[in-house]
Amino acid sequence: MTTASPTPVTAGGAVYTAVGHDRRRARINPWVVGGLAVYAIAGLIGIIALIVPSLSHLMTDQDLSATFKPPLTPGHPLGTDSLGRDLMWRILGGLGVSICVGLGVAVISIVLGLVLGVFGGFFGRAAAVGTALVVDVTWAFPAILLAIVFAGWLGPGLPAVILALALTGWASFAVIVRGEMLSLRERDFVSAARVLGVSRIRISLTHLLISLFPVTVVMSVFFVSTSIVAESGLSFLGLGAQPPMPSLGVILAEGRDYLSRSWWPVVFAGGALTVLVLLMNALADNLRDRFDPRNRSSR
Amino acid sequence: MSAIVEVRDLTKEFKSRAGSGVHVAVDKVSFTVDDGESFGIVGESGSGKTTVSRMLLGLVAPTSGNASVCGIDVWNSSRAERKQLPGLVQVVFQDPYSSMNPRMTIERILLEGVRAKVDRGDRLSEAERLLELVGLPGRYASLHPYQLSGGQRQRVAIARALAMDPRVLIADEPVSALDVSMRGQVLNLLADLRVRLGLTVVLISHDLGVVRQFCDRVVVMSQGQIVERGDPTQILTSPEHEYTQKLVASIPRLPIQDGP
Amino acid sequence: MTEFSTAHALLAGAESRALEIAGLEISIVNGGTYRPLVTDVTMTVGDGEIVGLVGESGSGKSLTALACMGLLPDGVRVTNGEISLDGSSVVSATESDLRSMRGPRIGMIFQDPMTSLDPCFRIGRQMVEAITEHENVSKQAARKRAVDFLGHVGVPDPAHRFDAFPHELSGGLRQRVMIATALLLEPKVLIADEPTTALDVTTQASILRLVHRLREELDMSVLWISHDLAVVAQLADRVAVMYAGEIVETGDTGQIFARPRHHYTRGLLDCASHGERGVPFGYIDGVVPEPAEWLHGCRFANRCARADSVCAEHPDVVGSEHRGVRCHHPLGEGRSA
Repeated sequence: MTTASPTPVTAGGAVYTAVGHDRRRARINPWVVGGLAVYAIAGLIGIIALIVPSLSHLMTDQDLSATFKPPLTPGHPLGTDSLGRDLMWRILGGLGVSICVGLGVAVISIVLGLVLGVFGGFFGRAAAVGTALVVDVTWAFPAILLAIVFAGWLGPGLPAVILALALTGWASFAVIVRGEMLSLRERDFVSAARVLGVSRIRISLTHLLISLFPVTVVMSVFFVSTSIVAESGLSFLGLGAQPPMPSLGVILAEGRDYLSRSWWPVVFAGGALTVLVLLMNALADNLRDRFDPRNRSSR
Repeated sequence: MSAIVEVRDLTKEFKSRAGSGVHVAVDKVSFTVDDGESFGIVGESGSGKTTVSRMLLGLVAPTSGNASVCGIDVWNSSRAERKQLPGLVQVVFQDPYSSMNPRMTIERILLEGVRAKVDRGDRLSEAERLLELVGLPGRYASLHPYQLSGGQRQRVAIARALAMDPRVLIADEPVSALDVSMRGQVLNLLADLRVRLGLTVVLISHDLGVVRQFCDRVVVMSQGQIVERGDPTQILTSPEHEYTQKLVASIPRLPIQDGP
Repeated sequence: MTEFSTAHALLAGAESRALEIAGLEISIVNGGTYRPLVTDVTMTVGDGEIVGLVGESGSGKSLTALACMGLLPDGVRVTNGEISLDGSSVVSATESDLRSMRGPRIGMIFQDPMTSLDPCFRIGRQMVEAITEHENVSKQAARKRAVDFLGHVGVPDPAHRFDAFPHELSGGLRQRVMIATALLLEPKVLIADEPTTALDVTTQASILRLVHRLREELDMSVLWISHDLAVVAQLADRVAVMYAGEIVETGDTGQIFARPRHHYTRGLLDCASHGERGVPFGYIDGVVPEPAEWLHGCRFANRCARADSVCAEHPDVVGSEHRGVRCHHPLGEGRSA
């Protein structure tokens, strides 16, 4: 017997099997990865600085004799704000906050979305109806309103923001997961597993989650970027990071008041935020391309 | 001969897509399969033959009627009784490409149903035993499905079903997706296993010629109903029902005589 | 190129041949390197003739058909040989030449009618479009002709169905619509790639009868590609059997099935014929090879019971196109050794 080889099923199958190996897979753009790495390092520095007292003062020290210093002032590479606080350290801190919020919201939303999406899509009619109800109510709920409620309950600050964003954000992902489930659950290997007596929970963990991996990764990146923007918006409104903790939104809010005297807080904070979101969306795009055609040609 | 599979007035209705009315996919189907028998269900697409098998396997709930395997009603028994079903009836699906998770190894695929019963240390040897049972080399256990041909995958699917040591094996168009030159091996394997292991095999197919060679008894389905039943050779040579006559007349024939 | 295919190339145009393929080689081209997928295919379809092209997956039969239409996918090209349609070359034709050939001179029907029927438009409109694209007729005249053809191919209530969308029709009807669309322009050659494989056997039987009838009425030539030997036996005048990218046997239908000369053909016949209860099913040991795995000698040698050291040399086709076999030890008249 010759060595095992996949037999192409369709007419042009031989073509695709051979060509598929040669086709260049969508590579992740190294510039995107590089840019995000820079952000990750900056954010990490920011987080450390926020936590370690001997460093956090760099973000909060006011120096009323050195207010509105422009960029490239000695000692203040990005300038100072209206209270003489160093802008560079505040932006680093703000990035640290953004990353914490982004990751926090993403993790909670993804987990909730997966659990409820799989449950609603695979565990029978009652489960489907129940989750549909919860999803519809959640989706209709505005995050800002919830943030205000949580701010009232927990006090304004990051936990309130993270909870509010996560508890409203998971719904869109759950719907996507449920959509995937509709086709996945009809796949023969799922039916075979059910006939073999494998429990639905086991099937979800071994078969379904793995098949959901590509869409999960792409959505995670999407969640991180949207929640960073949302947090900035909420902080802008005063609901997020509370002074003296910096946040990109806080810096933008304060900078807006003094825009005529100092453009640098708004430009640097806004620019940092914009570039971060663009890089994240580019990454999500790249990942989606990487997963998509590969799945098709590997058959 | 005792009946090992009993289907009585089994019916399945689907709500029509347009919203109005119902589509009756399976209409009061009744038949029995005897222990150790080779039984065929013949029909074209839309005949309901696959839906019948899915109801027997516990995948699709019937609208009315009963289906039971080894005396256990598939849909109306206690949970404890229904838990026995995977050890009694198993399935081989038509498509060898989608019936296995491409990311799992053959070993994992084979043992999926018996994970709890096999110790870690014995897993590999059990997988190899199953592979040998279907005529594949033991070393295939560490491969992935994409490395095997369609016919080899189907044999793995059979081995996976046999891992549960069932009494009944339902084969739903097991060779339709395979190249013609590779179908015989899988069919011969099924016939051989039936004799060797005392299995009852239910073969679902659109091909009367294959069914005649493989099955002792057959039912012919059309539009959800059984229109004819009996000995396959007799049905081929003198079909009684109008549909069966049309079916038999439409089969393209090879202009040679069978034989060596 | 074999000697007789060279002769054919020289004689091109000397006789009336609707479709002529000579020494065809199709390869995947990747930069500087290329790997052949189809080699040395030589066959013709005469006027009003139905030729069946039989093979399993990987045999190259579908690629051959696509090459005849100039529809090879990206990266796949004809790297040797010639295809001529009614005297004009397909291989050296430009895209606009091909566009004018497709439809009026060569029609094609596929396994899945949805690949050639746009689901967004009514079928009638698509058919009329096909006519007006190639001919200078009024929309009314085109519509009338389309409705006529729909009736011709057995679509019930054709004037009404004319306005249907593809998804509103059953598989069998869609296939008939596709056949009607292909025939609307009365092509010289119809190439059919597994058109009935996905259909019920009863529907298939009526489509086969239809093709026979149309051949009689329109004197149309047909190249019918299938893996189903029995279907080809019903339909074709002559048969070519392909394996691993090359033709291994050709001949009149009756001869091929009664006295196959190639061991693969013999094996396929064993597989396709079904016997009585209890008779073991025929099969061919081994697996159909991928192009990367093709043997340098006879490509069937590793699955052939008769193979010996001579088979390490690649066999050429022996005989004429009307009865040829590519084998060092062809089966003789009567029973094989």
